[in-house]
This record gives sequence, structure tokens and C-alpha cells, in this order.
Amino acid sequence: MNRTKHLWKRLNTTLGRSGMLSAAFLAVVLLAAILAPLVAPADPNQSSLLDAYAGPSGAHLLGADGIGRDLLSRLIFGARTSLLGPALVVGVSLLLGIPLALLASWYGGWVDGVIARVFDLVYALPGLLLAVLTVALFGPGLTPAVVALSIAYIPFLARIVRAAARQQRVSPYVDALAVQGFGVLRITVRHILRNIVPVVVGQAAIAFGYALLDLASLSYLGLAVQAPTADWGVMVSDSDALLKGYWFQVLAPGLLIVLTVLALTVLGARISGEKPPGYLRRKRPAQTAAPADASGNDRTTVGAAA
Amino acid sequence: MKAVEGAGSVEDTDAVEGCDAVAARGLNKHFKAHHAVVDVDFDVPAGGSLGIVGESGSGKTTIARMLVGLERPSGGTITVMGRDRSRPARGARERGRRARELQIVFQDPYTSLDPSQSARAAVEEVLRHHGRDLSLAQDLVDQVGLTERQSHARPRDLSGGQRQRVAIARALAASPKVLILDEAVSALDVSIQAQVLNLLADIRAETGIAYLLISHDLAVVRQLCDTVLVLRRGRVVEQGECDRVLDDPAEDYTRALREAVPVPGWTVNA
Repeated sequence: MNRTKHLWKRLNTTLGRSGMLSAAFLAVVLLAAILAPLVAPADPNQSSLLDAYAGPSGAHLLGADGIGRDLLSRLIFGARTSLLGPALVVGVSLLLGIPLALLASWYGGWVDGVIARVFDLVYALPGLLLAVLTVALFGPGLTPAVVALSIAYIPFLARIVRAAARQQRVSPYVDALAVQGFGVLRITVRHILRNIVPVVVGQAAIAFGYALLDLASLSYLGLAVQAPTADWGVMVSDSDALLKGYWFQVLAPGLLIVLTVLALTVLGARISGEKPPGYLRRKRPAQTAAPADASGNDRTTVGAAA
Repeated sequence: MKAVEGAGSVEDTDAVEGCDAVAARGLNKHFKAHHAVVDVDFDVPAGGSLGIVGESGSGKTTIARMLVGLERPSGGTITVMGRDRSRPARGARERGRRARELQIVFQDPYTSLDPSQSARAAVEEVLRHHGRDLSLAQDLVDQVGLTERQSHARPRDLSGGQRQRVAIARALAASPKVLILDEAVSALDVSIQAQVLNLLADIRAETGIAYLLISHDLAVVRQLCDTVLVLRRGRVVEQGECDRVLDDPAEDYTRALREAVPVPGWTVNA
């Protein structure tokens, strides 16, 4: 009992208010996704044309879409596909990226040089473009999109891991372990990796958010998750509803995407140890707040103009 | 204080008997164009203690790093307990054996411990790695004078002196025959320095371990060492009995080093 209390307190101090709020929101979304068949009030694919674009009512808590499918149920089931894709992307890129990053940080020199340049190269490729190319080659679907994004996300994660591991690598405790005769694998996994876990988890959470957004965009374009399946990205692309003025059917999944990505980003930043952004609270200095002065557009000092 | 059984005893039967604990011959190290260590020879007799003194950048730490295998000598030979270690160790067995011969305590107690490991966990990990009895962990913790509470704390909750005790316990856990102390007390304040030095003297009396003490502090060297080696720009300036060299230096550089030490009545020459 005391232990749980202590853990709760520690969690509270590390994550802060915004972090805890994000974690709670994500927990709700995750639970809903896992328990979808239990929580969803209706079959997400059961259509009844009589209820088309029905407003919120007892039968449909959030209303229904163009062919009378229950919106709430579709949102809940949509969470499954919308979260599974990014989870796969982040999982695969971590699986490939972490060993490469640790390798680079341990050996340094030319090994590091080669791996870092490859990361830079992949980093320069826009993930969405890579995904569109893959889909063009292998046809639309979740698998090609996930594979392409996984590759594109490796440098996003691995660059951070490499930098953090490098910092540990040059620390004398690693030398001390080497002098004790421990092998490379043991030192990197049991000591270095363990000490950079917060950085990895934090960055992974942020990557998860971005991957969710990317996959939703691809689904919106009809390149990833295909239409009848409930998915937030697919639901946002319901242009028919929008054309007819039923904005809520499009806004609701969009809002969920925004909130989930926001929560992941905030949580990720808190886990990796970033302080809450101070600029939100700090008062802006009067000078920068003032627009260009009345006489004109040039705010350069006189000396600089001359 | 309790002696740790096994520490300093002859466990590795294949160690060559009756030779110096450490012997370096014609040791050289180049860092690109910089010649950091030039033809250095020295011996540390078994159970003896050698102090290496010299100003910053004189090559003291480079010598230590070559001895423990963190740097590769550009030339010369290093023999520890009669076995050559001029080349990097091959295989886990050889690494483990070298670890049981020679250990090191680093200068900075703040970064030389794994931040996520308690003292006890660190010591136990080393004991397990060398196939030693885990019950020795308690003895080692007692030996370096850490309390039960301190031994379970993370390094960030310990003071500099306490951390250095943890580092010493971890080094001793491999039961080395030689311990290198690379400026091991330099980062500590004077009273803690004295405590740790007394601790080191006690450990030596109990286990018969040999010390190689690297320091810029002549008082520390005088307290702990039998012989001393004065290093300047990577070269040996003077070498001999500690009292002889420090009381009656033959070389100007040693004299200058000695005169740089503040003593009662010491004033800055204008």
C-alpha cells in the first residue's frame, strides 16, 4: 500500500500535471481500444439507412454517419487500427534502430561515421513520401505503409539514442566496467541502455504520435487502412458528410487524433526529462510584443541602416 | 574493520611467483603528433606502492590507462604479475583474468559509478562476474566503511567521499593484486581525503595489495607510497625511495614541484 503510494507520488513529480493528464487520457483511449467489443454500444459496421446522419440520441450517443453506423462505436473500434499501426512502426524502428545506435556509440570512429551518415540519409527522406512510393509499388494497405514508415522512423529514434548512449559511453563508469572484464554486450545492454531508457521511451512516445498522424494521413488519402474498416484517418476522410454539412462526423475522429498526438508528445517530453514549456507562462517582453512602429516598417537601429 | 578473505590471496595459481606486481619497460604512447609518454620504466614490487607525480598533462593518467588496457601502448611492454599485457585482451577469459590482477579507481567519483546501481548491486555484479561468493559483498561494504543504508543508496544520494568508497569496494571485489589509484582522492576535500587515505593504508595492511598511486599531491604520495616516480612531459625525471626523492630531490623539477606545495609561512613570491 505504502509502496503504491510512493510510486504514485514519484510518478506525479516526474510527469507533472500535464504529463499525468496526458497519461490518463492515453490510458482511457488504450483501454477503450483493447476492450472495444465490451465498451462499444453497437457493431461499428452495422448500417441502418434510416439513421443516416442521425444526431446524438439514446440509440446513438454521438449520432451516426452517412449510412447509419454508430459513430461512438466506430471511434472506439477505430482506436484499434489507429493505435496498432503506430505501435508497429515504433516497435520495428526501435528494434532496428537501437542496436545500430548502440553499435555506433560504442565503437565510434568510422563505424559511427558510417551509421550516422546512413541515419542522416534516411532522415532526409520524408516518411510520407517513402510510404506513398511503397504503396505505389506494393498496392495500398496497412502493411506496406507500416514497413515504409518503420524505415523512415529509424533515424528519428536512433539519432537520439546514439547521442544519449555516446554520453554514457565516455563516462568513466563504462571504463571501470571494461576494466572489470565485462563484455561489450553486457555493458551496453545492462548499463548504458538501462541508463538511457527514459530518453528512449520519451522519444518513442513522440514518434508514436507522429506515426499515428502519418498513418492517419495515409488512410485519409486511401493508401493505408481501407474504407469499410473503422479508423480515425479513414473517418476524417468522409468528405460526403462534410459536403452535406455534417461536421461532427469528421471533427470527432480528427479531434481524437489531435488529442492523442498531443498527449503522446507531452508525455514523451516529460518522460525524457524536459521541463514544461516556460514560454507559455512567461510574460512576453513589451518590446517584441509591440508591432512595427507607427512611422513605418523598419525597426533596424539607425546605425545598422547606415 | 573486517578483512576480506581472499582479497590479495593467490587465487590464480598460474600467476608467476616471486616477480614484480607491475613492470613497465620502455613504455611509449603517441597521440597523433603528441608524444605523451616517452620511454618510461618502472616496477611496483608485490605488495609495494609506487607513487607517480607530475604536473597536469605529464602523462600520469595515460600510463594508468595503458596499464588497465583502456589505451594501447605505442611501444614498450607492460607486465602485471609476470604476464604480458601490452596487447589487448583476447576473449572473456583473458579479460577476466586481467581484471583480477589489476584494478583502478578513477578520479571523479561523480561519473565513475553507474547512476542506476546501488553500491551493493555494483559490488555483487563484480563478484558474480568473477565467480566469487556473493556473501563477500557485505564484508567489502564493511571494509570500506559504508553503512547499510549507504550501501543500498543510488550514487546521486551519496557524497563524493562515500562514492569513492563505493568505487574502492567495487575495485576490490575483483580481489586484484594491484590497485591503481588515479588521483583517487584529488576530488575530495581535505578531511575526507585523510579518511580515504587511512582506509587505503588499512586495506593494504590487511590484504597485502600493491598500490600504484597517481597524484599531483606530494603529501598524499608521501603518506601512502614507498617509492616515487617524478614525471614531466611524459619522461621520468627522477625515481627512487619516497623519502629520499621528496626530502632531498636531485632534480630541479622535483624541487620545483616540492616548493609549489603551500606550507605554513608560505607566501606568494611577487
